[in-house]
Amino acid sequence: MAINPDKAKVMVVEDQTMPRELFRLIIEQSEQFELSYALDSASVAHIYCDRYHIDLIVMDVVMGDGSNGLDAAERIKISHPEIRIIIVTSMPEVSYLDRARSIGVDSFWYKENWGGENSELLRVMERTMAGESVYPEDTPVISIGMAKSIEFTPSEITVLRELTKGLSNNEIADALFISPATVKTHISNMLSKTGFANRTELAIRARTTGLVIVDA
Amino acid sequence: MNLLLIRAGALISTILFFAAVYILIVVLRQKRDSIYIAFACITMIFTYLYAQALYVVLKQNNLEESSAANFKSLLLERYPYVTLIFDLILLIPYGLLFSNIRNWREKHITPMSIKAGLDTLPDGLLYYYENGSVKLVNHAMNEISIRIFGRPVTNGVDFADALAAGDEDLPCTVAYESDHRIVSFPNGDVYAFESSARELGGYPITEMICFNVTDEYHLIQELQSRNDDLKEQRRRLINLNDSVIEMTIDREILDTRIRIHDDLGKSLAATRYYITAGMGDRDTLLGLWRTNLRLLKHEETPVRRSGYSSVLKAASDVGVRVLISGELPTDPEYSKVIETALGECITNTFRHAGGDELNLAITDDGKDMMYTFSNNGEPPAEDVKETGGLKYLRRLTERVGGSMEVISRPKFELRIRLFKKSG
Repeated sequence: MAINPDKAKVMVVEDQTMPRELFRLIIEQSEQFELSYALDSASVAHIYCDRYHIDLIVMDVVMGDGSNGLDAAERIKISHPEIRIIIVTSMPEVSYLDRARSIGVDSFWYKENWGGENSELLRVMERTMAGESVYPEDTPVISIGMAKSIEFTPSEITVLRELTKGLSNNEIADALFISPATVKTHISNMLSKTGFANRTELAIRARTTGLVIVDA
Repeated sequence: MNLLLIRAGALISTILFFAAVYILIVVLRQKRDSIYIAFACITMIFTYLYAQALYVVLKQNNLEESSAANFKSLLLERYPYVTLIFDLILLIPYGLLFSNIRNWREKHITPMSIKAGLDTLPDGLLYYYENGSVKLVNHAMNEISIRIFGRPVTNGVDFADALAAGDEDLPCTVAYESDHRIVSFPNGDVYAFESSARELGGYPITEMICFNVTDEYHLIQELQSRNDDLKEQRRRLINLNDSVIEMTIDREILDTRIRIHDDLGKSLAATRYYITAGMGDRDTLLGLWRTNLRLLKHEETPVRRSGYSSVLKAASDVGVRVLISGELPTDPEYSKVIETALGECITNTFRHAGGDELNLAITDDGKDMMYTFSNNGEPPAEDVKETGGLKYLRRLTERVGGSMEVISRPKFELRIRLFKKSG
């Protein structure tokens, strides 16, 4: 592949072929960017960063092989802080934004904002390379039962994430270093907000809506 | 009349004497202090002598001896009521002694009080010697024995053996759980028997206790049932976790397909417009069709690559040749460890060692599988420190029960040992 020194080198990490092709098309149509590599697993992203000069990475979070884009981003930011990273996802999991910020990910983009010719992703990429940090104001608001996702407190979301692993109240309390009574209160509050009959229903809905994602 | 009074006095004195004997025996049994024993003795002796004197007076009514006559005349003629009054006075020390004995009994534990107390316990209690003779059995244990065997406990060894045998003809079921004999009745009552060896007066004695655990037993059954339900729910949630990620990926694919098909629809509409009305730019239309066709080429659901293929492709892309001798693990947990190790060693090969070939030798030593990574680059100048990726790899390896060793001399080697899983 002929390398244009004037264009920023982009690596796309997306396990699904079609979105990966869309990313590729968007980048190829741009005058500012050049696609260096398109990978289907986040687990090997660091290898390419160690070997080749990469300016910008556009990386999905959840991969089919179990690898996690945020984990890969964290590792790359430690060894190559100069590489700019945009995390893309379609999941409204609330912790992704916070974790991305804490890792030092430069920008964050939700996939449902696919644009037409003037792709919003392209604008995010341009702004990121210009030194901006582009983050959505909030995660997408989703309905869960009678409640909206923004009605849950951070503590409730944390407890809910452990609940979806199938843990008991005592196990959740041990994992989060809180009392079982506090766990029970949070779950009770969430059931009141959502109108669900029991914790199992709450856990299932939280998982299927993507409100909380449990890493493998 | 005077004689009658004397006779009454003598009778009362006799009764008091026997009472004094009784009191003496009681204080001796109670092992009271010597003062009480002495007091009882004095009272007894005095009462005896007094009674004897009265009987002599009565017997020799007509004696004319001076001392007897004087005493007789004193009692019979001048002070006949003195005998009764004196008997009444004697009642005072008797009363004090009886009161003292009663108070002592109330405040002190006696064998009878122990037995009485044990009989009020709701739990059964049985103590028996090696030959089966019963030292102590309380009311509750006898009741339970009657309920099980139709008779009270007469021999401890026979009782214990019969319980252990758990005869089919018994009106209950007998089971053994956690060092306890559990007896369950059809009406739901449950008893737990517990035995332990003791010693009494230098002789071995067995203590058997029986608890009514009906409520606790049924609560445990209910909790176990609930736990089983929760475990099943947990299993389903874990399975759901795996399938939700698949579902989400499928949803993303669908969303992308919808977008591509939308674009295709727009391209068709634009082409029709161009053909029928001559509106639009030909080159732009052709560009749109090229893009759409290119995307449609990848529309069929691709076969998901294995983790090894991604890391091996990465090795190829970065110019490192990977030579593997042996079979790579297929177990998902182990695969992740070896894929991660491959990634680390590929990076290490070109970045630190300056090499272009990575070797992975897989050997089976019977119990474990050994994975040895080495490269054709330069050996490390100093001992390799486990940071970042190697640190993560060690954590991953040890989490699955394996072990990892990093060797820096004479050349770099990474050794991972994973035990062979059965099945």
